[in-house]
Amino acid sequence: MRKVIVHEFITLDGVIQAPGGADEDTEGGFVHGGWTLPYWHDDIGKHFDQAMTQADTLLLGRKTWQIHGGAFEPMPVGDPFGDVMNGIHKVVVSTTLKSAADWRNSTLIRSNVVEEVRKLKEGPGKNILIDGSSVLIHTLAENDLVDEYNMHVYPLVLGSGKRLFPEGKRINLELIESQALPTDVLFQRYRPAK
Amino acid sequence: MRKLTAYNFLALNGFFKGPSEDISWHTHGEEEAAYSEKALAQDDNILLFGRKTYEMMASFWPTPEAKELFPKVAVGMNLAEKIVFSESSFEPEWENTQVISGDIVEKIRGIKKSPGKNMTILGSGTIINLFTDHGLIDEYQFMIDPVAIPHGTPVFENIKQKLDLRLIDSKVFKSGVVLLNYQPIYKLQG
Repeated sequence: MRKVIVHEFITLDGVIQAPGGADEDTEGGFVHGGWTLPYWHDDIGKHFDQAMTQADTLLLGRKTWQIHGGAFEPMPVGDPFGDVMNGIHKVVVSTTLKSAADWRNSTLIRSNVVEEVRKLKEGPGKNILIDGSSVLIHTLAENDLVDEYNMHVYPLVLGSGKRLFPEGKRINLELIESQALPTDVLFQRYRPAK
Repeated sequence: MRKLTAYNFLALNGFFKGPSEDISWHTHGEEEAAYSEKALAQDDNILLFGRKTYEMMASFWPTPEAKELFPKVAVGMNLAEKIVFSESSFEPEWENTQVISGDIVEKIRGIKKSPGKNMTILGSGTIINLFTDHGLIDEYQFMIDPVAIPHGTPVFENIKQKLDLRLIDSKVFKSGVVLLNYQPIYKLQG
């Protein structure tokens, strides 16, 4: 069975909204966009690269898929990160998108998300990686479809914003790894407790 | 200047308590209890509480059940000097308790400047938010459990500004609980 790996930047109070840029996602009046930027460390990139080498599919919510697609699709061939992101198979979940043509190598799930993701997991292949995608992750977590949470925990409290974990669901986890980076970011990996 | 620390158990989703003051999701393993014992045994801290956390603690630590389950921690908790912040004055039943009401921000500022023991706030989200807004907290210690709970109260519920921290220490317990120590950046910049 393929694993679904959630890979997130998260604040101490559980916020995952707009980590990479001021205008990335201002929904709900969010003003703290770009909060990861002062804390960059090469290990953060390495952790993502490592997760990518163990995966062959990105599973994304509509908004995150559009943000990533908008950034990577126009990149010229030869950009190492751009090539990886454009090359990998993407599955976008949306009830409103008509097509997934705006970013190459993407396919669209329009309904029965839980069933469709279950089928993806049962099919052949490597890990399925998710970043961002707060709405989709809530659905997956509520249905016990997440096999691992990789979190870079930033030394910040924002007080508001979209959260990683869904309301109303208790999720018991096991710590796999905990590593403090020199920029005060913690890399924490958890999997569901047996 | 005395040091003021905020110490909390947290779920992975940032809640320090579930509905009805529930902290049953927190792992009180041997290692965690040993850590608390050691901290209390030093007897160099006054324990600070808001009214709700105080009442929850006061209804547990003096009981025979607490003395049986966590003998050393119970002794430490009962013997420790305690301050409870309360809007109205009341007669505390738990030993070694002083009640402070009124302008608690000014009062704690005064106490910090006076000589004496360091202070640790346990639980008490309302107090932590208030003191965070006034820049009174020197260190935050979070013991984070490997669990997301369905509902709860965030430890930072209504802070007025975003809080930038510096990670000064981290420790992993066998249970998967992690203990994180942070200092607010504004404190480091003086």
